[in-house]
Amino acid sequence: MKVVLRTFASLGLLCLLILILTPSNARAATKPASSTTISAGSYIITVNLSQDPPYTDQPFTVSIMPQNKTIQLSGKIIMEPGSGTDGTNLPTDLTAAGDGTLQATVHIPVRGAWNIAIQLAGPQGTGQASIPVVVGAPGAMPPWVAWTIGASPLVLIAFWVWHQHRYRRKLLSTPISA
Amino acid sequence: MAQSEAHSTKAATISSQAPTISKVGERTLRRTSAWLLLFFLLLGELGAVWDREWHAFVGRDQFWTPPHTLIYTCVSGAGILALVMVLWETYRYRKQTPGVDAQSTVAIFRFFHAPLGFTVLGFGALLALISAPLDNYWHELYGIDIALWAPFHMMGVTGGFIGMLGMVYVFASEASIQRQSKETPRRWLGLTALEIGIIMAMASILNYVLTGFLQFPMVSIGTIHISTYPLPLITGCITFMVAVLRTTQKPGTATLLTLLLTLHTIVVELFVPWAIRVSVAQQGIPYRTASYVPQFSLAYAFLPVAFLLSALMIDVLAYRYKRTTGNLNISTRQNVILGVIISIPILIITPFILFSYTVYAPVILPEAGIPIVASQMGIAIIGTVIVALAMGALGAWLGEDFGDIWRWSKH
Repeated sequence: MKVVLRTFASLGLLCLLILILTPSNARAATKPASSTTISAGSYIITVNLSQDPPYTDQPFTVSIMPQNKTIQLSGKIIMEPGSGTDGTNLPTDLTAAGDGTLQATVHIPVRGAWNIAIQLAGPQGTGQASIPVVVGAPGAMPPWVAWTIGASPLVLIAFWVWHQHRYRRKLLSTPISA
Repeated sequence: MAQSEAHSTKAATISSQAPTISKVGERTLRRTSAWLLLFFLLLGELGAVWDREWHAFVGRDQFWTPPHTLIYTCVSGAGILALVMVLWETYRYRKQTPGVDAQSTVAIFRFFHAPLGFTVLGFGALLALISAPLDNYWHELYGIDIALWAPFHMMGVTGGFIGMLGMVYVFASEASIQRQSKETPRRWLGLTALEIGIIMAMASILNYVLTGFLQFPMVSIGTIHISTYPLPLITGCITFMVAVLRTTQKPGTATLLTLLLTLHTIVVELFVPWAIRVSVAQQGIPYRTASYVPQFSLAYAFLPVAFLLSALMIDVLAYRYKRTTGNLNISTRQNVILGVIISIPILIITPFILFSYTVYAPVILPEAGIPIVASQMGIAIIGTVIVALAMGALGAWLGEDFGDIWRWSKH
């Protein structure tokens, strides 16, 4: 019984540790990881990123706060691959988040240099701005390891062909019983 | 001739040695599963071509693109079904259910007992599923344009191929069991439903070959580049043309296989460009090149016509041989020679059909603006022809092995 209780206590502690160590997303919602003030045409805006640097395939929030909170803005952001990054443009519409703020949740699928292009429209016409980001990724596996893993099924296919060839020969050489 | 007679005699004897295995419940279970798996396979292969085109026209914007969703739904569905079958058959084997014995199953890790086809298929699906996150990781590192020759793409493609082979085993073993039983199944064009299932699975594998054939690498001799795309086409077509004849023992099935493949490519061309246009419009995402929008391609839809002459040649020969000798199994040597001969029409006709589809169509591509050196061109042409014919021979050899096993195996 003591062992069971001890196991449950250990599991509980583990869960607590996980909860303590992973509140970054929750925190990110309230406090941006980075904040940049730029002008997009005639609009002065503060661009907040919930994650900086962003990480491949992990959604993060881009918030755009106009200095003049009374104006109604709309628009979209386009994640554009930067120089040397193999990707495509990824547009996302901005939605109103209250208090004049616009926001969008985006993800970037490839590591490297990207630009967050912001396109805004409002009473003072349209405006554009761009913020560079460098997207992080998991550590790179050595290509030889990747190829060893990736090509291993081909070895199985070669073995299977050989096995089936032998199997057929065995069937052919089975003595015929009248 | 003597050898071919031995082939047919022994095959028949081997078949007759086995006691009849035909228990209705077991047959229904396996056959229903087989058709369900074929459904997943057909949808999955549609997803594979859709994915290839999505990469070309839209780019890989995220993992869960519509074609990826279709592919992985089908792979998961097929994998789960195969797993359930393996577990269920193991249970029935241990319960000594009639029809589930050492003759109709194989042992896996000395514990599980299941039909070979479901085992192979499940293993292929598992490989494809394992490769998915690894492939995504590779894309995250190196971008969206890494294609067939990336390690985890290869893993996924190989997994898919193994799964499809498993599909043929599933139908073939049931067809074999049916032949040994007292069943008198309905026939269409002389073929039972299970034999049609075999041909449909083989057509799917060939369609799968068509999905990636243009990704095959270029070989350069001096300033002349040689596209190797005919090699997978020749090997794949001849393997399955020979295999389908030997599995069904019906002349005409190689042509039927080619016609079914044509049906696949027509459906693919009707569906894929439309699906991309609709998805792009619905998601509001841009094309990689604004003016490059997918449209129906007549050249791709009717690409299998390039294989029709070879199919007719092999069928006519099989018909004549069967009429003369009573069976269509020619000797291995004759078969290899036949493979070499029927690869010639594929090598010659395919570039003409693909002319409007790809710049690689002419196979031999001299560097633009540089005078052609006659000796280099000679080596390129002779080398290409020799390698292509060798692939034809290999295809015929593989087709003979697998065709005979699919004809006999009840596992």
